[in-house]
Amino acid sequence: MLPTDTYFPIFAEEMAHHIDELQRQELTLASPTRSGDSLEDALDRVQRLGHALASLGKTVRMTDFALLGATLETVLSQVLTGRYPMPRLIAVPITYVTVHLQARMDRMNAAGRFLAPDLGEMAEAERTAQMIRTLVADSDAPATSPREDGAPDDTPVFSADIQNIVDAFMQSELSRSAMRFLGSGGPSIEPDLIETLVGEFSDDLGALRQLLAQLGTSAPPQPILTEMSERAHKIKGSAHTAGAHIVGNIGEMMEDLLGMLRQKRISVNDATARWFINAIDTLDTLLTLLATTQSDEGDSEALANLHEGYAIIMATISNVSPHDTLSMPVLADLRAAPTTPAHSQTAIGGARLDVRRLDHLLEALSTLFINHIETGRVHEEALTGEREIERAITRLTQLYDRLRRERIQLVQQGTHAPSPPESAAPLNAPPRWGTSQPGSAAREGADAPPDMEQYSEFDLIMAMLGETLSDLRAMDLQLQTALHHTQRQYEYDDYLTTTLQRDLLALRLVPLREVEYRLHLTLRAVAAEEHKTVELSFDLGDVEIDSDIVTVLVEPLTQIVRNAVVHGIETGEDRRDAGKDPLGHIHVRAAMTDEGVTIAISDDGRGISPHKIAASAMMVQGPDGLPLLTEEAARGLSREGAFALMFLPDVSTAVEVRPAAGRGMGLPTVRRAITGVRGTITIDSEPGSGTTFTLHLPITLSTIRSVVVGAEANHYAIPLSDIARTTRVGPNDLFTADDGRAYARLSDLLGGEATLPVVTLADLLDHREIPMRGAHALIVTVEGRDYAVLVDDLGEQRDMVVRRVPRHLRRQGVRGAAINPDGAVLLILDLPRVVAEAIAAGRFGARAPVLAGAVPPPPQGDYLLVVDDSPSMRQGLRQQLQAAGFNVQTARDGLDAIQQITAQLPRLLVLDVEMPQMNGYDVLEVLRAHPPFKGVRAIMLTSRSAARYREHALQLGALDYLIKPVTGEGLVAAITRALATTAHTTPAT
Amino acid sequence: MPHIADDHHDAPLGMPADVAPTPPEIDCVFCTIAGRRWGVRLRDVERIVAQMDAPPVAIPHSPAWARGIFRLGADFVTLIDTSRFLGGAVSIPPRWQRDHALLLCSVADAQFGFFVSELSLAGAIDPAELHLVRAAEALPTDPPYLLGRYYPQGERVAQAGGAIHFLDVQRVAADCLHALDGEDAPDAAD
Repeated sequence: MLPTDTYFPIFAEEMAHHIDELQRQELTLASPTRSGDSLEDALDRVQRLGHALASLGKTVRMTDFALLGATLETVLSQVLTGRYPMPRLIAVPITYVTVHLQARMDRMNAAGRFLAPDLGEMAEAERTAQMIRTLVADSDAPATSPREDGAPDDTPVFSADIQNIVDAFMQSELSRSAMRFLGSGGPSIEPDLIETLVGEFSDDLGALRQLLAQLGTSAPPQPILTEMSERAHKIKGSAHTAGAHIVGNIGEMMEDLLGMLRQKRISVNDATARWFINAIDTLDTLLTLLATTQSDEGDSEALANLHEGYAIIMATISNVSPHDTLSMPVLADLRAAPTTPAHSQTAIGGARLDVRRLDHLLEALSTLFINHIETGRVHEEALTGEREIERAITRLTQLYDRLRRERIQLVQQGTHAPSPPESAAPLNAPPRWGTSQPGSAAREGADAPPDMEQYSEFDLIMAMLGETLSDLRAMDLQLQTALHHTQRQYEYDDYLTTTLQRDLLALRLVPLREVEYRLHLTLRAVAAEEHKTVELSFDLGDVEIDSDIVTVLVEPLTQIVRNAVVHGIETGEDRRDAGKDPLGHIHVRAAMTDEGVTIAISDDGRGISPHKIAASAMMVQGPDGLPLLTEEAARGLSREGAFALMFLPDVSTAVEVRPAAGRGMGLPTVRRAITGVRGTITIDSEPGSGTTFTLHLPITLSTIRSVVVGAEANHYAIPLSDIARTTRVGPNDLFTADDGRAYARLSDLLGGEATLPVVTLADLLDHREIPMRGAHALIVTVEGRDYAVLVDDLGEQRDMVVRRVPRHLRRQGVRGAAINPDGAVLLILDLPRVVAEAIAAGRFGARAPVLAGAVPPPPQGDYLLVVDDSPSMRQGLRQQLQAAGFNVQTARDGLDAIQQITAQLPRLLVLDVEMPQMNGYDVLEVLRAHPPFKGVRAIMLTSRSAARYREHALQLGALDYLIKPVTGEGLVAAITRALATTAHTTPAT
Repeated sequence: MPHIADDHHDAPLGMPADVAPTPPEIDCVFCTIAGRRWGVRLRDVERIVAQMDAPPVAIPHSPAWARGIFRLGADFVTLIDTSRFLGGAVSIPPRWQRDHALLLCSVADAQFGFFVSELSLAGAIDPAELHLVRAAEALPTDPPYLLGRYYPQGERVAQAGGAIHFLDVQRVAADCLHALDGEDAPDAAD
């Protein structure tokens, strides 16, 4: 008889605890751990759980509970006694038991009372119990062959019966639901994760194939092996986190072997190369399986072969031959392998979009934006034209008024007929007047009363001029109205394109919360392995970030959480001893900043000891075969310097290598991933209190917040993330040291002074023809050292939409290009790369910067510059002079002329006097006031005929003074004379 | 001497030569580069640009003949001082003139604008008057990147040395890319 239902809540609570504990142990047993102790511990716990379950089942008269508990207890006691060689296989029936228990408890919880098992449930329990017994009794256990780390070799050799049982279990619906219930550790993986995993792993496998092929070349193997290790590490971590344990297991074996290869404990030979080819092929097959069946249960024979090969290679440790090489067939296999696997798609909010389509859309919008800029430019030109028309109308009005006054004067003198009516007759009116000559009307008038309808030729011209003026004013008004309308339209388009661009960029953004699930899974799995209780909390707010960045970010964040659990958080007992809450805490916080997004991952664990990091670095060999850190360098190492060492390969504070962490490959991979998306990572830690990893990331990869810097005529954009700081610099701050290199004394952030190697941006970019004044210094950090790069102007900061540039530009340190509001191209420089290349080539600081006061003059040109505000005059003069064989350029006023002259010195100026913005005299004064331009020859061509104007021009250095109109021959003769004259002051060329 | 039509207008196989289609006339332009008058086949250029919308910006670590990059619509075009590339003097003045133009050519993902002056449309020329020059036939006095010689008035002019040189602008573009992509251009001046 079942106990009274009053006890049911107590029973349910106890069962929940048992089920939870069984899940933990199942995860430990199923995980590809190499630690024999933890396996034995797990088996022991399951045995004790079985005992508790059997007792409870008997107490409450639940026969299925009692049967399963007793089976576990009995069988596992045999397993422990005989050191069962296949502990991972035990995980399968334990999962089955757990699922059975959970299903039964779900039914009872729903009813809120004890329920006896029905026939089906009883039969299920009996089958499971039988399966557990068969697994142990009938297994053809191989001889135990402890591996290097003391763990038993669990290469399974199954009897046919056991294989059938396992296969049946794996294929059962119950198994799938079990895995979903457990959340990890089985053939069913979260469907949402599969797509992401397949995409990630496809890239990794492609890269691994390429790297493997390079192993057979003459390239130094260490960097290749390091990158391969990072990829394998990533596969291992992501796969286990997602529950794809078979994939994770292969990743782990790869990482193990690569670690041995890096340490030269095994050789790069045919056996290892073949093993890696097989491993990558198997992973490729498993990925296809994952994508199609949502399971990574693959060809067991291939897996067994991999295990066997792994064991054989490991057996060659310490038996390395220096003559080991790869044979030609293997090399051929390596190079023949495909390198580009398929799938790539990104989740965006509630929808799944192909990011490439989004990028095409952005590209199209970018083009639209450019066209919009172009429209603005054309509009500006139209406005300028309209202003020219307005000025022409003013001049014509003045002329008309002058003629009218002249006419009134003539009439008053009696030499002209009376004025026609103010409102002149329309131009198409019939010519009712005669064709009298000027003066004749006056003569007629002397004899007869003036005939108001008899107009002189002069009157006719006046009338036509008046009409034309009237028409011009009307047209100008019409033009102004149209331009005003297009101006408003342009402003509205401006708003629309900006909004569209912003919204489209926002489409790429996804909530950072998407990473929470993956981190929870990681924490659950790793905490179970480590037997630690850890709470993971988030404060991510509404922070959104580029989908590409989120994809990249998952693995680094997972690795940091994994490290925090394994290395950071202490065991419950240790925490209690240290006066801490036995429950460890990891907190992930994100916030938007002006620069992008900051993510901080903090734990309240034991913290990181800088001394341990230094000690580890001293024991690790760098690529050159020397220790990464010498004893002397270690003594002078700062806290920050020590933390920075953690990002180097093989540096680890871990006492033992665990499946989850401790190989020293995690943080280098983390940093590589973060910097790959233009982010930075820093560590802050207090021993005993905990550690915080802080990531600074851009919001999107499609835009870069950059500052525009100038180098005379050229402007470039430098991403703010590439600049440590900026400071002003003057000529006195620069000096050349004994080593012949240029240095700058610059104030640092704390008010002190720092001496840094210096170069101008022009020199750095190899633009030696561009003079630099170097008013500002950009401080760039390369490999921990600061360098100063001088620029003329430090312009605005803004988010720039990055457009792809052709390959030949990307190879020159150009990240991409943006379009300036004026329509010009703005190249976005990869300044750290350019600086690093200059340092490597010995070019950095090789030449002292040329600063203000020593600016070289512009180059001498071979052209005449005609400066006149009248377009027709400019055009006419150009034609005349070109016909005479001169190379001619024109400027519309004095200011325009100065701009052209500063770019290239002309042979001679043909200069008008009266011009808007800057008149001809001003031009001469400006030129004479600046030494580089003093010698520029000029002749004046003006309608001002008074002698005083001529004298003033000659005093200012004009070589000749011509009065308009002038014949072509006269002008050419004057120019020829002027060119033959020694200039007022020899031009500085 | 091979005929210019040989490279693109071979008679179909099996068709007697006397019934092969007459090669079409060649549209071309004439222009001045480095003080020399050149002919350029229009089919060798994508388009002719009368002026740049905005001034070019200098390219880092580029030879002097690569004068910068400018925007043309939605494309980025590398401006080439053709005269300088062919070993002449600097030819691009600071101010754009009416008779200046750019011949646009693409190679891979790069687009080049070759600066020329005194551009005039020559119209269609008779293929019989344009003779290709293969590398082995080039004379020491020939300019680099010579595609062929054009004899507007037949052999009489040819004997008098009155030919107009045609520029192999596609090969110039390929070598520009080659040089900018990290290796030296075989015939580049810099």
